[in-house]
Amino acid sequence: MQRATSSFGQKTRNVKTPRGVGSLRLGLLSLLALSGSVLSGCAADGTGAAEAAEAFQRDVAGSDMTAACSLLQSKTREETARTSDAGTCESQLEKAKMPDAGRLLSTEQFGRDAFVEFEHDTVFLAASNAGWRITGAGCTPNGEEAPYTCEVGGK
Amino acid sequence: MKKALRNNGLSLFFGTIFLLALLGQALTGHALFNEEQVASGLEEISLGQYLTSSNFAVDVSENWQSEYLQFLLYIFATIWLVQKGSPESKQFNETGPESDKDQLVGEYSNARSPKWARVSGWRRTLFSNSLGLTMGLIFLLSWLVQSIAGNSNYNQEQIQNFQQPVSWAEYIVSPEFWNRTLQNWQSEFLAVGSMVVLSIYLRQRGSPESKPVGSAHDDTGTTG
Repeated sequence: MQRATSSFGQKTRNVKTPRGVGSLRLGLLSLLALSGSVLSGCAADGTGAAEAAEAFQRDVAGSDMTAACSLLQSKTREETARTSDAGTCESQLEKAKMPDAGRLLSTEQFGRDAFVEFEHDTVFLAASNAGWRITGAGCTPNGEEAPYTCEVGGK
Repeated sequence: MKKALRNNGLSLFFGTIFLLALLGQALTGHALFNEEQVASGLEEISLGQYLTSSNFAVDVSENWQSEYLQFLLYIFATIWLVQKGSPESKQFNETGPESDKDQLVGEYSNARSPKWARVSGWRRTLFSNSLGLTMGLIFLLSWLVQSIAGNSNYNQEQIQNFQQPVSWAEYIVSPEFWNRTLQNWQSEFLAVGSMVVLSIYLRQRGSPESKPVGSAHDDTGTTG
């Protein structure tokens, strides 16, 4: 993946390289900028994702399946509709055994993806231009490494 | 202007091709990222969003850390270790930090010596090790950035695969982190080792990285 540059020679021992110092400063600044962008990216608190997940849980609990379906990511919505006998997302959500999620426990956001845990449910989300959208809900773990099994969306 | 360009040709050349390569990496990385987004049914992102993403940061920093580690190890290893016949090596009787006279410090400094080479105490000690310390600092910072960005990037993939994200502490002992790290390290170590050995027997006329073409294979520390 990488190549070897080799300015290793010891003959530079007594050579002053002021430009090299400038390049080094530039390199350090680049590194700091890179660190800054990474750290700021990691600092996202996931509030938007948590609000979307809570709104979805409220809509399902209140049987407003049209609103709930609108919070699904487009591919998830299409697949949900496809698995329904009636061919609609709403009918499939009504049929799904969605748990009573309970209290919001934690939200973890990484870039454009988020993982929201409730007392009795786990929700996976992805950012879209329209806001946070659910890619998996009603999800339960299957051991440490395996993907969660989801009532809506998921694998 | 012309003189300044000539005097700094090497740093300007590498600075320019570095920026061009980074630009190329950014553009192709953005295109690849969006291909994968579309394949996963996710929305494409802008170039600006990609440049501030952990995906880009981990790809850049994992290469940076290994490059700086390579030079860091080379700087320190060549203080003590020698290689018979290599232009990269010191002579056998020069191993170690060498005398103040050889290093032109303190009373042996001259009018053109940097100020911190002339003074004694912590300033001379710091300046005497400033290259290694700076390379080491950049290596550690790059590796830290790799671990943080890599953790974020790994967790994005975990979530997209409907798996639980992992903490930073879990990530830095994960196969993912060490595989990214070691695949870079092995190539750097191979390249440096190859340079040391090949320069014993092979020549590049005019390059200070090579011995003079007519030098004997067992001539050590001579440069062309």
